[in-house]
Amino acid sequence: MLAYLRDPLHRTWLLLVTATAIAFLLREDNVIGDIAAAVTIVIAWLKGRLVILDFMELRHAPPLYRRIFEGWAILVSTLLLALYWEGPVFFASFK
Amino acid sequence: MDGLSANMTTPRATDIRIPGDKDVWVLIGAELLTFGMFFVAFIGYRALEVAHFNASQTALHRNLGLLNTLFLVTSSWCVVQAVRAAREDRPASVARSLGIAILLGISFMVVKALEYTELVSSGVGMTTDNFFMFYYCLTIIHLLHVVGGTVILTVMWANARTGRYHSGNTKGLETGASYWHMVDLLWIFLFPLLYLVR
Amino acid sequence: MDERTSLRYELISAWCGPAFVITFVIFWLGFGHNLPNPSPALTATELATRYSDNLSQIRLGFIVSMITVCLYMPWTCVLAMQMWRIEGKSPLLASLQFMGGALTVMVVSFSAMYWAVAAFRPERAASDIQTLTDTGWLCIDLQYCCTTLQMVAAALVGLADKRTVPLFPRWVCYLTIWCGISFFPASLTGVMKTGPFAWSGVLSFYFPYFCWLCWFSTASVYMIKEVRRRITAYDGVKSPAGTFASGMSR
Repeated sequence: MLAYLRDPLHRTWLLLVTATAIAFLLREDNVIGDIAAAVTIVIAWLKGRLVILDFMELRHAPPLYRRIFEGWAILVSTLLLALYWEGPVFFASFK
Repeated sequence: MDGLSANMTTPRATDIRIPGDKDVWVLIGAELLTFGMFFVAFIGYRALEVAHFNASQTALHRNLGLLNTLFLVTSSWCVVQAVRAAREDRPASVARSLGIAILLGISFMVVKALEYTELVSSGVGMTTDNFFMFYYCLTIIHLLHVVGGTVILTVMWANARTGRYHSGNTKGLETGASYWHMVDLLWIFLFPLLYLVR
Repeated sequence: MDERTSLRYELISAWCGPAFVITFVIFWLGFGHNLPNPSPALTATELATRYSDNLSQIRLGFIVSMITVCLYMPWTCVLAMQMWRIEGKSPLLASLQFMGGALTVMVVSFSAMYWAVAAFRPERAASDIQTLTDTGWLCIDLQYCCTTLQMVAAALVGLADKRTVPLFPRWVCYLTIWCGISFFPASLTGVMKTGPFAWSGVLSFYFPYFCWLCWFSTASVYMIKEVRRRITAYDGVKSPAGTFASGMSR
């Protein structure tokens, strides 16, 4: 088992599954909470980053490629967080 | 960059290189951009009617969403194993890993079909409200990508069975693999957005 | 017909591409009042007023659009010839592209015709005007797949082009496939009346139409370059001492 985990790819898979489980359990009781939602989005970003770096193998890609795809994940997550938190208040100001 | 990707005879994981056809990354980048727009549009519309979106979300089968996440993540991982097996000249393993990845892709489709049937039979459709409009539109568009990706995997599986992929030829396999990881990556954002964030 | 003449026709046909984009933007989007386009959520009366308020512009826009959309035909033919030369003996994908392009013209043309009919008798019942407008939009938004097949066929041939200077760079081919895929959300216009996936929405109208025109313009640039290269090569063989300019001045 430990030998199995020495393989970085297997570790990535285990991390992805664990992160999914954590995000899922956070929502188990249907709580409506800013912090839990923010954690969910951050977990999504971390999982996305793992897929980009280890599965898509961009960890060792030319820096430009890595920056573009990691940049996408950061940009999308930031926009999602910003709209989750500030969106309702921001849009209400136009009504 | 051309020189690097041309020198593909024995790629090692630590080499500075871009996997697969370097131009396919334009397609992958454009797809990510499109879905990025979808995600932002969803959370933007949600901001207009937060309480309503939260109420509608409870109708979703969260366990099935979780199951599908595990299917896609594991499927992606199998494809990584296939690429690795090709680099290490283990042709039987390439085909086997791809085979499992295809089965997981099909499982995703089956679960999605179950979900849609359940929702529709409980009277929830695409035009029910804005939440379900996004739910159906985004998951259907993503599902089309899963179907397309599974077709690509199946072609690669057939190729792998004839021993096409080995350490001297991984480019095609890597190109298809990159597309499949993108499908996984998109679901990694879609699942929490639609099922979890409230 | 001598080769120099047919090359000249090819060049003119390739330039029909940019001409199509420009006239489409001016007449279909501009005069046709399709920027922004009428929302499917408008009531029949609101829609009828929209026609009667802008009657002459809308008539002009769509009547001219139905003429200029035919510029897509010579363009499609040049692309088919260029693909045929790459494919060689069995030009399957060139034929597919040829059919896709021809049918795209009919899809775009028919949708504009429904709107022209709606504008023909603006005094008719508002619900009839609504029916015609709906028919036009669903005609163009649900029948995109002819264009998708045209694009995918062109991209596949482009990817298989092994010449030192290919017709399309590989990234253009992949972008073409993506543009073709980006049309799929437009199928949702068959159901949606509001939101980003309705026919007036960002994700079913502005984005895919923008992608389509971008693909078309980019492809046109590379097709014109290809024809130019062949003209240069032809003139070089014909008159080794002569210049490119002498070929052009005739």
